[in-house]
Amino acid sequence: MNFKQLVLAVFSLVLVVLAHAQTKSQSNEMAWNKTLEEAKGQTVYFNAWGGSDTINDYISWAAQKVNERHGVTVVHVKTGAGDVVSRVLAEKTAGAKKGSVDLVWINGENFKAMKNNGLLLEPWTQLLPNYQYVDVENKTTTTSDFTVDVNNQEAPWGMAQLVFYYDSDLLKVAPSSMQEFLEVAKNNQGRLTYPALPNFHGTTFVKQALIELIDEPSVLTQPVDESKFLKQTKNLWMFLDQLHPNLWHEGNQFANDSSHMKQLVNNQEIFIGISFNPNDAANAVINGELAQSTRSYVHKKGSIGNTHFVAIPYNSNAVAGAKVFADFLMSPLAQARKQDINVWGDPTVLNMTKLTKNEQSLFESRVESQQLLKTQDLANVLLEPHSSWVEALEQEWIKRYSN
Amino acid sequence: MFGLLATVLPAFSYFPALNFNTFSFNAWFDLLQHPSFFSAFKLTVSTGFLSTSFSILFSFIIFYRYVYFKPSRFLNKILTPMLAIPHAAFAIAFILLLSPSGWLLKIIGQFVGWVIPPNIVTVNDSYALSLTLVLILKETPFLILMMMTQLPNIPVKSNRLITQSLGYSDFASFVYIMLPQLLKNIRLPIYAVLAFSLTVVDVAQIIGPNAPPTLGVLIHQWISNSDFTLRLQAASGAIFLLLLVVSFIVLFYVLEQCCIKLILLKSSASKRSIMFESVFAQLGKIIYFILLLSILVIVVLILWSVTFRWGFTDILPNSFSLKFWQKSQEALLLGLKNAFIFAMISTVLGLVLMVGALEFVNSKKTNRKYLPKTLMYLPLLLPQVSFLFGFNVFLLWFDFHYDWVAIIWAHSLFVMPYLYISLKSVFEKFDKRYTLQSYALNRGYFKTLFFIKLPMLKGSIYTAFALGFSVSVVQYLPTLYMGEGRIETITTQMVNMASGSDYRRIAIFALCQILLPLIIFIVASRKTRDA
Repeated sequence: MNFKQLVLAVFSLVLVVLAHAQTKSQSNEMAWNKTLEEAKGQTVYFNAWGGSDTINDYISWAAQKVNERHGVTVVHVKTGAGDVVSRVLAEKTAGAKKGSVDLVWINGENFKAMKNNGLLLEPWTQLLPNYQYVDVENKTTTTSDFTVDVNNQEAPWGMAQLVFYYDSDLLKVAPSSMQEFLEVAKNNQGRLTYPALPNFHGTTFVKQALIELIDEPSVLTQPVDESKFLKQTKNLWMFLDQLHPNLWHEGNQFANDSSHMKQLVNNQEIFIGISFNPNDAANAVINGELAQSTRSYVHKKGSIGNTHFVAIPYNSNAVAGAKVFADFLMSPLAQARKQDINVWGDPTVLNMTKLTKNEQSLFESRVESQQLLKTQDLANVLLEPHSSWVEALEQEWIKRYSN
Repeated sequence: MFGLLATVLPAFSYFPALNFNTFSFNAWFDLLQHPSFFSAFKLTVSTGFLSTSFSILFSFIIFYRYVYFKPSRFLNKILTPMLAIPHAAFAIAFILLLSPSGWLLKIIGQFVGWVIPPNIVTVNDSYALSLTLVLILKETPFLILMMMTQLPNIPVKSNRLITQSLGYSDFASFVYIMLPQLLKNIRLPIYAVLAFSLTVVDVAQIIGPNAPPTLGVLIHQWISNSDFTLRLQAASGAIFLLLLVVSFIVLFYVLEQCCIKLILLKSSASKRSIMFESVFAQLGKIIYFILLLSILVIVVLILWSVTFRWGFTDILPNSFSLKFWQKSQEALLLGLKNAFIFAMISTVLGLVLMVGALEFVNSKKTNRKYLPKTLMYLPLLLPQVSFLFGFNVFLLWFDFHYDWVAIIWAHSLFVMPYLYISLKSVFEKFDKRYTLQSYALNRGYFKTLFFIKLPMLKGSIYTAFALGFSVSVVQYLPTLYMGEGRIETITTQMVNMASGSDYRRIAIFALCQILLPLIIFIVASRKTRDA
């Protein structure tokens, strides 16, 4: 083979590859057009927790938009993911052909359960046009949900990070670590608490404490070794043993969940609340649910972050419509509105650098709020421990503090 | 029936959908070894026992004072608000009143000079005392109502006259004559109270302890956990709870028999009066406390519903807003409309079936009526979550999808036991001479039933209707499961809101949840009076 032939061969190879890529993106586009076509006229039952007005209002805005644009009707069914998991399981048990859930707001444990029991649709999110803007490179939790491989079976919707908020009228200085949290508890008897496990926020609080206190953080990325578990978590239990007598109800009772904590902070019964939405406090102040004197903070070492998603059950009746709605929820327009603290304040899953200038400008904040955290405060995202730690921690916590 | 089966099988580790195909006792070991189990068991027993016993005691004391000394319609009026307030709404409002930052403590704080809520425990206490108190306050009026439906069967006036002429004091005559009769006749309502207070989930979640919670809540946590294997443990827990309820019913039956024996023994000892009589007569005034509390509950909900912000040091909200009412308007109308339709249809349906069943059973003197009777209680005895899972699978098998029929069916299932307990003894004790007379006058069966018997029992039927109606209105899980979450009633909306943190919106939905039962109870008490 002479040089000329070689160039020709390489050139034709490149052409073939390019042509293939071209047809692939073309076929993707065609497939998506087909999905849009199918979706027209479908009704999507979107099951999502309905306890917050701001979130409900946002969902109904998104539903209206997607109806205008693609002729898909979205009905917000206000039930939590736990109910959905239970219902889809009942449907599988009975062998019902038609499912009752088309799309569900989900993450973490519930996703793991649905995935492992084959209750989810085969991988689909890679086909959504807006998926390419998702920041899968830097926001690793968009592909690994509580360390469980997302496997394109749920579409990223929003980012979450554990943050604290406090009433600055009652507490002059916010703690910046779990050790300082303990100091604050000692100085303000009965004024701090966290949700009882197995509540999701309670478990996260304990995980956060574990990450901050453990001698060898590297073991957290591995599955739990039961023989070493107690030794590895020794610092955590020592910390909680010291903390509890200083807590609300002397640590005999805990808050029910983060909503309960927000009520208690609002009523000044306790001083510090927790949330998974860094902008929660800012939104609640606008909404009148928290006092103007509320401030947010995170611990110096950073805090646990994760992502929440939407997923389609295996027996959805409106797969195309559900995909179209999930795609819209990931669009720059919908993501920007969601991040606006006047609307919801839930951080975006998108990568700004992948967007056009115009799209980026949608995200510029128009509001000043004293409750907002600075970007650098939130920069230090801690990864969730391996998912097996959740159960081990919950069991041990219940054994020690809930008997 | 299927609901029970779907609870029993998983309890013995049989759950094909999760690949558990062999029977074993593992779920029972897991249950008994669970670290929270024993404490949760103790909490459940103490809550169930104390709340039922005190409800019985208070209801008798109040009943005594008002049946002997006051016209009974007075009692009817005074009980109406408390009867109408659903348990969950009451528990929420109780917190708004009596938690360390509650309205009453805000008022006290004005005088004591508290700047922030005191660091004391008033609700969510570890011993479930606040939960017990809430149950007592709610169940006492229910038992009194049930006693009042028995009044047509018990000749109060002549009883009193006879015993008086024999020189017995009023209280002695009440204890010796009325109490044994009442005890027997309100046996079923007492068992309903027992079952309810041992298995209740929503009220216990709101105002009960959480580390550990009561058994009902614990089972609910397992069944709604994403770890499906916990369902087996939950199923054995549900069976355990069922057995607990049954053994408590036996215990209360024995206690009832002992009480009656004791009373008879005392009465034959020719004692004409009883110690502390006047104290008991005065104690009857507890009812004003119940009335006051039920009014405060409604007032505090109204206040919160128009609040924008309400800080601790202020007796009234700092800033008001009608925004939340305006925002909720549309949803509220829909929720109220649906709740009304379900309650109307399921109660009317239940009433027709129940009157038919009672007529049928009473016309045949057979002993084989026990099985269907016990089956009908299952919805009351089993924890709703596990029962409904089975019921749901059953409906899905027949490809029965979400619709109104399924919801109405499920509501009727829970309404009927209450209709039954409030009508059973009234129907059984009905003086047959009236019907015989009518037959003798050549009136047919149906004419007799519709023109003689039912009109005579009108009072009890109205009360039963109001009760059944309010039971239907507050059904959460049956509506959620059968409606697949797609059909909202005021109660599902209320529970949704209560899972969030916004007291202003919670108050609005709680108020509207009270509205329907309140209207029905008022109408019923009017009608009863006219009857």
